Amino acid sequence: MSKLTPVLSAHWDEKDSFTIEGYKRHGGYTASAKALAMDPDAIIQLVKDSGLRGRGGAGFPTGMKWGFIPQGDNREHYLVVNADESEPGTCKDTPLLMANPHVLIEGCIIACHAIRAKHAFIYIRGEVTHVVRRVNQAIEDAYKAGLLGNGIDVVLHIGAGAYICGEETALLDSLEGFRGQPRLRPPFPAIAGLYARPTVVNNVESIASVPAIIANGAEWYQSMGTEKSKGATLYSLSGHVNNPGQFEAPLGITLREILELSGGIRTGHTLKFWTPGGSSTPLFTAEHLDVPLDYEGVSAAGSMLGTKALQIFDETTCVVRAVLRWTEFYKHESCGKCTPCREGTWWLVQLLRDLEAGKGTEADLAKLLDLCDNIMGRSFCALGDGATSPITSSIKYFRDEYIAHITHGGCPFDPVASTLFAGAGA
Amino acid sequence: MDNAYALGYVAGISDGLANEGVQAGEPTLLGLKKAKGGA
Repeated sequence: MSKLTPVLSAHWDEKDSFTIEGYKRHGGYTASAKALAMDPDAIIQLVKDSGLRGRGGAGFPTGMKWGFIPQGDNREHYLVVNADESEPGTCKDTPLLMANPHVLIEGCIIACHAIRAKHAFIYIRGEVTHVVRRVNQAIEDAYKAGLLGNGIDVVLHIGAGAYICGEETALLDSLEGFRGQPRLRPPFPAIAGLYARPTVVNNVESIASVPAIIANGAEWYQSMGTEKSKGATLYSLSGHVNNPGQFEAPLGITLREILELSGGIRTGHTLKFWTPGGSSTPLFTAEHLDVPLDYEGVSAAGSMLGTKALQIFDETTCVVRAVLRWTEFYKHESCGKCTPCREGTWWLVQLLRDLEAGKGTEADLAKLLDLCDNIMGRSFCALGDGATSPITSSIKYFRDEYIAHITHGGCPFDPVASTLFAGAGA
Repeated sequence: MDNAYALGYVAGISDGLANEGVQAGEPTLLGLKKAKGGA
């Protein structure tokens, strides 16, 4: 029996799934009509009861976050949707918004009503022009249908391509027109967020999950998932697999099960390492195939569920090379606000480049770990912490491979073997 | 509504292509097909 539970992705295979007609055909916008007739506090309680947790990486309970917004304060409140999906490997919001942008708009209407906000801002990654077009059209159609503009407005804001703007306070600075850099907390956005007003910042998938919860109830949502990680979620499978894509399943499914459902590792190859939640989560290996992919299970095994971006690498991949590429990304994307991340990621890249080229020494490995130790927990935001995860975990599991680069005087792997066109005779 | 239009024009994306490049690819839909009893 399939363990997959399509809720968000239930109608993605229909040609007009992204249109307002296609969405309404399956009950779209009935949840928002129901919610608008409810007391806002009752909606917050319902979302709390459902057990929905943030799908952007941290897993903070969504209903609780909404509950932090001070009520009756006669101040403007804002909802901000974080659609700045930029983490290497993370690719769930883009297909979700392409296939069904209206579920996000309906979620925005419900969330705005719950937190007593009149404005929702969708901050979207600027590079994904096709998604921007799609969401823009959906907002326009929702206005024409009279679903927006009656006390709740949705504004689409296009980012300029900085990974740091996925960090919620940097996102708020960017949205206000400033350079995107993280803010010191407290005050948290729930107290002083956008324009210093109480603000809820939620991930696309979190808000898109709300209409189904309102329509079907908290108990229905709780019936999926594990004890503390309720509901279903999108697992994004990529890399050396026969069938990459989105697999919507209850929290707690294992990678082994997802691989069985999806057609497994690239034919003729074996699993070497993988990320459970994008490149900023510590690596897992084949020994972690049966780790339940929920917040607690992944954490207990030494990593983080993150964005459920399952990047799969087979035995042809050089882990040093993969980690170097990720670290180059973090160095490039460091906003420069704090010294540990700005300087530290630069040095990490220098050391990793030397190691990959066979010019490193064993002392460099100790230095890498020391640098990571000085970045982890000392950087201003989670970007610095995330940059260290692939390095420390790869040295933990693949120290011998780092040493092999030193003794071999270079990378012992054939870089072509890990490509999709390997063996094609090109 | 005006805001959404304005933003679209600024970014050059209210170009009538919102319906193009629509469907998620076959591999992406495999999870859905499996759940629906296909594939």
